[in-house]
Amino acid sequence: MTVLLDIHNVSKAFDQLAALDNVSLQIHTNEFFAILGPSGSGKTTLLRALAGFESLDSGQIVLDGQDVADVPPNERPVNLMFQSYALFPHMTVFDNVAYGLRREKRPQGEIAERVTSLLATVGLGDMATRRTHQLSGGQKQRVALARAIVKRPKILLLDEPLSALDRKVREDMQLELKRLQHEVGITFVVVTHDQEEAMSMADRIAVMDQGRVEQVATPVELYKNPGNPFVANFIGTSTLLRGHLSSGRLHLTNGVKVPCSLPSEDGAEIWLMLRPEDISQTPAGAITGTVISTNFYGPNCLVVAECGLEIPVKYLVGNSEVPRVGDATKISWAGDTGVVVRAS
Amino acid sequence: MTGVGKLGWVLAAVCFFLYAPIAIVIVMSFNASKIPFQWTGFSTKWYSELFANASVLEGLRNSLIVGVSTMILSVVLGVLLAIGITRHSTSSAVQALALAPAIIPDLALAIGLLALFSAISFPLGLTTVILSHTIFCMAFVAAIARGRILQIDPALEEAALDLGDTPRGVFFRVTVPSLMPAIIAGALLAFTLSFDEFVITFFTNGPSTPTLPIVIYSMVRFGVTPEINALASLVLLFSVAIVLISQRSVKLSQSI
Amino acid sequence: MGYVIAFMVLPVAIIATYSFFQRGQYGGIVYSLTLDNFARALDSLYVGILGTSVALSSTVTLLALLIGFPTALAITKLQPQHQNIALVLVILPFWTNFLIRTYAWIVLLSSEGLLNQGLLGLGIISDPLALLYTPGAVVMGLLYAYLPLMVLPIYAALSRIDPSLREAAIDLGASRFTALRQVVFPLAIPGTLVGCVFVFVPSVGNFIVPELLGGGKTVMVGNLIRDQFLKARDWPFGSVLAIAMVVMLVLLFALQARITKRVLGQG
Repeated sequence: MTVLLDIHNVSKAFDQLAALDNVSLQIHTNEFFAILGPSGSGKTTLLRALAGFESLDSGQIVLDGQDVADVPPNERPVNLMFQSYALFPHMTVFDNVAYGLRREKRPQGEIAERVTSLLATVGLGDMATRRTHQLSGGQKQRVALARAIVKRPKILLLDEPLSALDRKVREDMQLELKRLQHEVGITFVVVTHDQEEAMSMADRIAVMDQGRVEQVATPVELYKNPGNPFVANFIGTSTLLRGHLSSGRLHLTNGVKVPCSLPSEDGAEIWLMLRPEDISQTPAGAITGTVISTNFYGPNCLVVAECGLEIPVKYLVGNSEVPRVGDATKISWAGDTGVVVRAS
Repeated sequence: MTGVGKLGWVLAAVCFFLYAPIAIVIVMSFNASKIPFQWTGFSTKWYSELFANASVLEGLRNSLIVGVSTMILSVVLGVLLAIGITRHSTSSAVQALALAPAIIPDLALAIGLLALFSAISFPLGLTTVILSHTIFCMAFVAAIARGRILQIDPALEEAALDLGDTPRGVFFRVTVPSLMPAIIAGALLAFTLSFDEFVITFFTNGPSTPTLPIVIYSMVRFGVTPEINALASLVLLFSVAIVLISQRSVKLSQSI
Repeated sequence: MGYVIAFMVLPVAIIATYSFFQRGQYGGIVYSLTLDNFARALDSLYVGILGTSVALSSTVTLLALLIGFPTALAITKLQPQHQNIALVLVILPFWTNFLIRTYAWIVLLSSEGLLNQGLLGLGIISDPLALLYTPGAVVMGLLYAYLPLMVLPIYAALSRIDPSLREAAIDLGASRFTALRQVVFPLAIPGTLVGCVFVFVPSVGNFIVPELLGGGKTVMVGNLIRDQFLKARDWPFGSVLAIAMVVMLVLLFALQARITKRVLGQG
């Protein structure tokens, strides 16, 4: 794997508020990379810095061996698909897509050919003469996508690409984006706040919070081995119990002891992360509690129960065992399940 | 909705109040009689006399010169002003100041400009009228353009830049076209305002170049004549036509 | 940007400066500092004229409010596509020539004018009424000229009020009228104030209507300023009057902004 984009110790502050705090990331050629984080985490600032719309306070952005920090946006071999799509309302679909090629002063014939074939690829072959306001949300998104990849940039940046779409269209577009990325062979960098979107599309994900990169890993790795409590909490559903380990048990700060035989040095403060599927509801369960809510998903049901463990416990049951709110419940988990997470 | 009944009458009455006086002037303009208020038959002779009236024609010529020049100047300056105050200034004081000529009384602006021109000994004439009209028309154009700029997705310009266009190219290929509805509306508005403007013209014009409103003013002061009725009808019709065209073009271009 | 500000600030500055100088013997300006102009402006004659102007303009504003508010409310009750047509209908006369609109009222009100002719013809009166050249005619002319400026901002304010606010009030037990009074009216106050300022400001400074419909008998500040500049050629004194007018209007704007802020809790 070759490194295409090397983001090195990048910092940026707005009014002394750090939007990017010493961010370092490496993105590989032909990778589908996602930057995931809550709003205000700095992910959009990072994307705009990559496109050239934000200057850096310090650090380098090296693209294909070249430091692009001082290259203006119109000269960077990077294109951005805007969250609002930013389609030019006074132009047709064809003219929108041809815009970038015309600025490169390509011959007419080549422009027509490339635009037409790309429109066909994104499924808009018969829409070339339409005005953008006549398109549906999904169609607008495809135009925006075509317009951003027609110049064959080294990296395509996508700012919350699916956030404006309905749920159904969004699922179709997720697959479509993956397919297209394979087809055109361009490195994609997606910014999103939607972990499901990032998990289902990306090869690797950088989780950001408060201007810092918390963890960079594959989706499976993020889910199975979160590097710190923030990532554990942010990715997927979990119950995070805080305490210290001593002789095969986790001592919570309120004095309650729960099973945990995972290897860790005694006495240090840790979080035990339990995924809902790690916990089972069983009559033999040693931990008792009261059901406070149930979320039915179809095949199974997420139960939230108050068990005196400082925070409510979340676990899954089959669709035939759904308890009612207020019911007493007994749960247990094996001592070697879950993951020990330390503050980074 | 149930509220329409009674309020509907209010609306009808207000429209009657607004249009009846104008309608009467137009009807009177076709009166054959020279005595203003006695209807003696339909005639268009006052219109033909109007077109033979040298001072009216000269006023019309001057008004058109002033109107078109004002329109061009105020659109260019007004749009630039609007971009300047919305994009490059966060100070609300600057914004308020730039739009002030649209709000301060025309009389205050008029004497202020008269004082300014006389302080720098600039001879009064059509040039001073055009400059003065531009000052206040520009504020209206800027107000309209500002509204449009705030509507436009700021990502449009960034998108063009991202696709490799130069800042200059972005301005002419993206910024100006997306402001077009405001530019057309502003241009027509500036022309109408300038064409009908009286107070500022009255103070900043020289004696040898009367505009149409000045001509009308001097005619009206001598009382009601069928000729004024005809002139008034034409001017009314002209303004109404321009306003309707601008309404239409704004609607058309907004659908783009 | 600099040019623009120069062109706007300079005139005001020059006028402000003039107001401290003396009038030359044959017009023009003698550049020696004095406060006489301000003292003269306090003369009862001029204060009286200012009072007349304010009284007439206030009457006009009040009438415009009483007519304009129901009109704006009526427009908001129409279907959306009809609302636009109604708005154009109301605003259209405003874009036509001011002199001509004033002239139309001469046609209506003069002693041999249509109104008198009609009343005479119907036998309601035996002698023509003196309608033209009265303060009433001035009020009528100004009202006619500036009524659209009242309707427009009120309409804008009313149409911006979320209909569900009124429905929420009714849902919580308010009657239709109570909902109007307690929810719609307060929220329309800022737009209504803008309308009042838009009518009051050009009314105070107007000199055409008092001249053409008031026949010179009803003198307003506008006429006075015009005469100081173009007839008496006493620019310093005219400047003082203009400054007085502008200061009064600025105070009015400030008052309007203040009330708006208090009503909405923010600017």
